[in-house]
Amino acid sequence: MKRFSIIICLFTATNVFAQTIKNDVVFNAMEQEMQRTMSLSKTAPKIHFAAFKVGDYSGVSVIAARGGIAQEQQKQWVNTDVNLRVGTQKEDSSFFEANTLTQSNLQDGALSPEGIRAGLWAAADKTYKQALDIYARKQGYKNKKAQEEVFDDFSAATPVQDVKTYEKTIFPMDKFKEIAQKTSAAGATNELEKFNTNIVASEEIVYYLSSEGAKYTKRDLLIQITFYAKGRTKTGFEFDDNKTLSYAALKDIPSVKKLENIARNFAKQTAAFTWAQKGTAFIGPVWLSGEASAKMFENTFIKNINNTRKTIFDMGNGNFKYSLGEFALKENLKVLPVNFDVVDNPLQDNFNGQKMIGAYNVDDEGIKAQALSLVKNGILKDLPKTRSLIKGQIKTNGHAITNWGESLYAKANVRNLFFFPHEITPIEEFKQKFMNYCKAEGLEYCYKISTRNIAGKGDILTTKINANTGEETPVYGLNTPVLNTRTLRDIKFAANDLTLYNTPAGISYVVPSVILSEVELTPSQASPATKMLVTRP
Amino acid sequence: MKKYFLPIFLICALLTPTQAKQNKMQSTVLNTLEQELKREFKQLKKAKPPVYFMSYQITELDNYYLDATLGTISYEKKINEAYLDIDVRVGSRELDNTHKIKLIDMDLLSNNSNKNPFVIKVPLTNQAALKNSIWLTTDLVAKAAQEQYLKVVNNNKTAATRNDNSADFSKAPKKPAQYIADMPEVEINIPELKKELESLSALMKGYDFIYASGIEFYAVKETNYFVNSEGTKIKEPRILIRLSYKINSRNKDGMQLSRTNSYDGVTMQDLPSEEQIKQDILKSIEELKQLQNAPSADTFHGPVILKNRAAGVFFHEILGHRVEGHRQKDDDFGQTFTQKVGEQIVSPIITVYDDPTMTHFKGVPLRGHYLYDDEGTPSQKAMMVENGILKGFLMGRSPIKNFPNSNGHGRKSYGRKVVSRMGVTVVEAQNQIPYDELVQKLKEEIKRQNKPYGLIIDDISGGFTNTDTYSPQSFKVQPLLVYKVFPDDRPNELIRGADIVGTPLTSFNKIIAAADDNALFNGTCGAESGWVPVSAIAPSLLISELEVEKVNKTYDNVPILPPPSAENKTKKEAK
Repeated sequence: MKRFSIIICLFTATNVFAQTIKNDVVFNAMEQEMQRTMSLSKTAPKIHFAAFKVGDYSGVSVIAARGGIAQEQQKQWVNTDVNLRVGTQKEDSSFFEANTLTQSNLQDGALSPEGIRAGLWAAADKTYKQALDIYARKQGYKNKKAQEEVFDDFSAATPVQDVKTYEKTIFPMDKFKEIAQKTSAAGATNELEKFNTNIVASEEIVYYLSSEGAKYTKRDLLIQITFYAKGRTKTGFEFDDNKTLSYAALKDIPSVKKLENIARNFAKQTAAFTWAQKGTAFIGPVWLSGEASAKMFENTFIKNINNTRKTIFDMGNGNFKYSLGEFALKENLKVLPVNFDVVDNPLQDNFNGQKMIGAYNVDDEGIKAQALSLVKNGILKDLPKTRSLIKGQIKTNGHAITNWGESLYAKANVRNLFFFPHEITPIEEFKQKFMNYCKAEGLEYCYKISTRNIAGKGDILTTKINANTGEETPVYGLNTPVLNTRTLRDIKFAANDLTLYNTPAGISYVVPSVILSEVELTPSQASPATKMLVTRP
Repeated sequence: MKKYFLPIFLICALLTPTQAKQNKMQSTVLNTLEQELKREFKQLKKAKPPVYFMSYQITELDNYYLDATLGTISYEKKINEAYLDIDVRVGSRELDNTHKIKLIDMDLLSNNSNKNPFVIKVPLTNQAALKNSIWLTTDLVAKAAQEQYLKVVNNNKTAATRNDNSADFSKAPKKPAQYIADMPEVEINIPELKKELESLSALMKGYDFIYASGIEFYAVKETNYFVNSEGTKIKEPRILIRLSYKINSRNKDGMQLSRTNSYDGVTMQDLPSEEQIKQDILKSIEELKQLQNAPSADTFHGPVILKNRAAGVFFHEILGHRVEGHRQKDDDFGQTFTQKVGEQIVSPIITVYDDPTMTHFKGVPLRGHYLYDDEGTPSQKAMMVENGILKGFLMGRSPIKNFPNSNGHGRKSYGRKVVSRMGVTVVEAQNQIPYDELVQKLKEEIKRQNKPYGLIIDDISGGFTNTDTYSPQSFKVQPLLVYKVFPDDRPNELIRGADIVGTPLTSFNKIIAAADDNALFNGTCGAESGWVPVSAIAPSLLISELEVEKVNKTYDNVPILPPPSAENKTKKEAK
């Protein structure tokens, strides 16, 4: 696609994507529009809180297959969003769901005073009318349904001022193309039918202003390199897997050589399943290694510790979008084995020299971030909290996260988690420990899972480990059940290999490899594909 | 925008080399496609059931988008990608896997969809990688085609016969098309273009009735690589450049109002000057202001003038889609004109044909022009209606009764399957008169019919027509600017919120006169084979009777505060 690269010469593209604007210009425009917005309500219910966001977004992506570029893309845009509450702090237009009413009104904008104000004006007009509607519906609903427990919808807090100047990142497309081409070629083994590399880099510089005076800027930069491998066993069973590497800065991206090695190793590991045996039903200990362990914690712990405040909903036959996290009602109960602590610390931005992409300084309600001890000795001690109160809560702990453009109000979320086991086994001894435990359970073999796909979403690739000899055999065609919070209490052993995982959703977590005492693996029902009609070119 | 042509160092070659060089230049991509097709076809024609025809098509796209609003660039994107579409036919030309399954019950596995589920992005820079992608995809497509063929054979035995039992695929051409051309060169000065868009979009600032506005630039360089097992081998480049603007408002009763305009070209020089666009924007702003204060339309039937561009869209929607060949074969379509070849279907003053070989109209490039269709057939002029009499249909390679061959109208966008489509639709009329005389004739017709007024449809946004048998064979065309015309000397009155509705057989016979002001509408048409660029050329037409109904509107109120850019103006007015 050499010809294509001249659609706009790099000189021009670089200028475009480096376009910047002074903080003062942005905030002046935001302040002017904030004044107008606050003047909207002359009578009750009045606006008691408004927050504006301007997001200056740029992104690039490259897809390569077996050494050839299949797609390259660069884009940039500006969006504006408004969060607005009518009523009083005690009772306002938040935490009430009625069909799609609580969708955010994200608007396009442009990086000029007029472009910013026009976007905010359009979003504020829609959001204000929407807030009035939600407030009225909420009042109406409360006339027909009694509320068991009522907590203030919003609480007082000290607004943060944290305005920094960020230079826009120039994404090195040529470098990304080189990485994509070389790594996709490195992974293109004869055994694998497909090996692709997909690089996605995005940056959003966020400007935030609230009616209480909170004012900050932040930069969300994320570069992800995903390898995708697909093959089939000798018996025709198709398998695939992917591996994503996430980075929060250009300088964190390893050298091309190193990435080629990672791609090669991943391809080799995946290609090994070409000769895999078909798995049979199994109940017993399972070793979750690396990303499999990370994915288990994500599916069982992280998804259930979010959304700690109940939302009143009157959805008719619609789907309720924001269900209460399972841990919201389990404070002071045992959620993990007694030898586990869990901390969410958004202020820690690296682990062993690697960037943690979930780190932030100010949350989406304009509150300073703070470390939070969630689990101590296996007991759930605290929850992430926002300015919307829950039982026993006096104030926020700085964990309000808004998926701008999706939810109208911030929800309690965790972003930077550390799972610390007290009793750990050196990773070198972990396999022997697993074999011993397997034997003690009266089994000839047990399974080790290393891939991300462990969420009950289909077939996974596993390794059968002989409990006596330690021999490892690749196995295909097994499914795991959907893992739930009960799984966490089945953690029997943890290794000392604490590793950082940055997820595509912008969450970071540090986890050890673990052995679960009992997991049920069931054989796949899928039929293998027939042979290829034509030989490989 | 001629100044973009200046060869200073900031200028980047957006869209590359010149001059088609037929049968001379080699194409690595084309050769790779040809090599792999030959290798695959050699083995697949021995498969059971056998493959009798194959084609590979790669659509290489190089897109650039640039938007500006209120004086600032607001969006920029460039994307380069290539998609592979594979057609594999199993069985024979008489009956193959593409034969439409006749639904007896709701058979969800019948696969009558026009989407190609196996379309993939492919790398063009690496031959081995490209071959690997082709090989993997061919296997999927061939197996799906074999499965579908077995269903077709059984369905043909068990379901009722259809009216037209023509073959599923036309015979191979005696001389397969061979054409290789490289991309013509186009230069765009991006920094200058940005300044231009910023300056033009700034014109829309400061109006309290404009709630959203923007100007968009879009350039695509598309190369179509096509090979098939009959020996056809084509590399056809295509360039489309479009600059358009939109200005939106809303009335207090919730009706959405907008003015839009677009300019098309294949080089930057084809676009009008900045001054011309500026004048158009200012005119549109004034029209939008008038629309805000215009009365809402009442239901109406009576005499109407369809202005030239609107008439082009009208014929495209109402006639063009109904003379697409595949709709005559399929009993699920209304087949309004299938049995009417040789009969008068339109007023005798009208002739309509589709000619994608046309490149320009009055110096403006035609978006609907192409040299080869998506089945590798050379494009050609297809007469649809001559002096009001139906002469034929737009044909791809799916034959219909009495029309066994393609006339080069098999079209699609990537990821879709080919059906017959329009390219450049031309409406010609006899006894054309100056437009002013046409307006006089309208006034006479109003009086003759004893109507209080008639209508002039000045601009149109688009429309749609129902062609399947489940729905009434009706159409709707959505005007943007409509004027009431009175039989006396009263000035024309702008109205808002009118849609034209009707049925084709009735409406076409009521054309009574045409003006000598033929004009071009360049657009993009969406149908079952995807979005394809099209053009329509027509004169203004006087129709003795058309029906108008009220538009569907929202209940969104106008914004509470004036737009920020009009804040000071509003304050001044308040003082």
